[in-house]
Amino acid sequence: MNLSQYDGYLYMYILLLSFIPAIGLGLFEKKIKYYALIATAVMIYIIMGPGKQLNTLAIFMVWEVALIYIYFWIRSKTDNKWIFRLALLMSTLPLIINKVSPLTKMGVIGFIGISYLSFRTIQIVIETYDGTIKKINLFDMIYFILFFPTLSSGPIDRSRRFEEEINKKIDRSDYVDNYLLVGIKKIFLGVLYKFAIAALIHATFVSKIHADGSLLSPFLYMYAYTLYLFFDFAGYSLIAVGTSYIFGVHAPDNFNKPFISKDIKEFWTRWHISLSRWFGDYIFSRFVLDSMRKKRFKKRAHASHVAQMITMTTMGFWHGITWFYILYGVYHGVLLILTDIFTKSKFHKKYKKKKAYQYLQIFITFNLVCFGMLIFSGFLNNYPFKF
Amino acid sequence: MDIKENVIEIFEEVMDTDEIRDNLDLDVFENEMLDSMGIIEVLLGIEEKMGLSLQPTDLERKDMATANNLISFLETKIG
Repeated sequence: MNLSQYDGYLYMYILLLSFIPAIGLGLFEKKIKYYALIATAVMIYIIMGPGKQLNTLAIFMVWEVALIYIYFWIRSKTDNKWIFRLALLMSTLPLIINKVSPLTKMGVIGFIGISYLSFRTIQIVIETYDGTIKKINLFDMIYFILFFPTLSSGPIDRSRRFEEEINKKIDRSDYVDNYLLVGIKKIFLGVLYKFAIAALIHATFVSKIHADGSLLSPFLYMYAYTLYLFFDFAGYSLIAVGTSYIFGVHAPDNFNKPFISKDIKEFWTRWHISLSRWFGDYIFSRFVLDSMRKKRFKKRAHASHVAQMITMTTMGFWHGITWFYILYGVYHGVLLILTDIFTKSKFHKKYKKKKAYQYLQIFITFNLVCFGMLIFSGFLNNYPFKF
Repeated sequence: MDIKENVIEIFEEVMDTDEIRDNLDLDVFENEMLDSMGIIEVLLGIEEKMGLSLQPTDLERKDMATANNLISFLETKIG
């Protein structure tokens, strides 16, 4: 079988069936993780089917797990920076191959969710270097990397938090109130978002707007696509998070009313939150901190601007090596820098508490976001100025 | 100087406020007083004043949410 995750009735039906043992274990205060790893294996088989994808996943897992163990052992002997960088490169290598392979004659090499699985293994390597990961448990680590509810599109959890939660005893009332019921609620909302609202926006607007050479079509498409993408992806994330809850894991939320953001910086704390936090923690903050320690820049603001540019451009490349994804990253890098400069201005400080000013900010931010999504959508690829 | 006094000073310098001293349980994230850049400045402050160098991911968000939380976090690291 090759079913898309959280898409279509058959997958949702199998998903519902997979809940039954999990809920049973939860209600009887038993650990869900052993059953959940079996469910994960079955789900991966359903999603990827036998063949190339599944084989690539197996190679990926052997490579990453071996690398983590080897680096963990080396790290106990030395904290050499170059060995760390090499380990980091090695753990990113499958993702790099996946992103570069479409440009070659070989075609795409990889499997569904390779970037999300890579985020998890890279995080383990980085935190092993930091010394915050002090022990590894093979079962828990494999479970964390493969955890099926968040397999194909996140949200991106963190290993220490995840492992703590799957090993703690959850009593019945806690499971019912804080996992099961909240999980069901999230899944219902997610189904409403994805299968009703997003599907409707897609059928009525997105699929009807074509690049016909007029200026009106990209203008309409930009709003239709942004709303569609939000309801589709936020809906997907809600179902994934809700499913995680039922399996006894509080996966992080991925969206929090992004369209009420007053500026682009706030937008990134509300849109695809687990991804922007990951980039924030492992690229932005580390680069800024390192730059300040080494006094790489005269002003702290400069360090922040360079870091924003690097972070968002990387985010662009991560989406895919295509001009519109890369431009999307650069666009957001530039917007973040401008936001930083603007929010420090006297003008902003004078008016920022005024309601009307805030509404104007929300309006402008929404439009900037939508324009970014127009770039991201690839719709402009239909126009003659494409690269 | 003790940890408490150091943390108060660092928070005051980074956030440019004197509200912290009066309320050590003030949530600096909820009150939008500390952003990602601010977190880094707090970490640098800890490094300069107490000689403890940390990565942002060494702490959980709640560890820096209030002055008291940061004080008890640092006590487990240094104390």
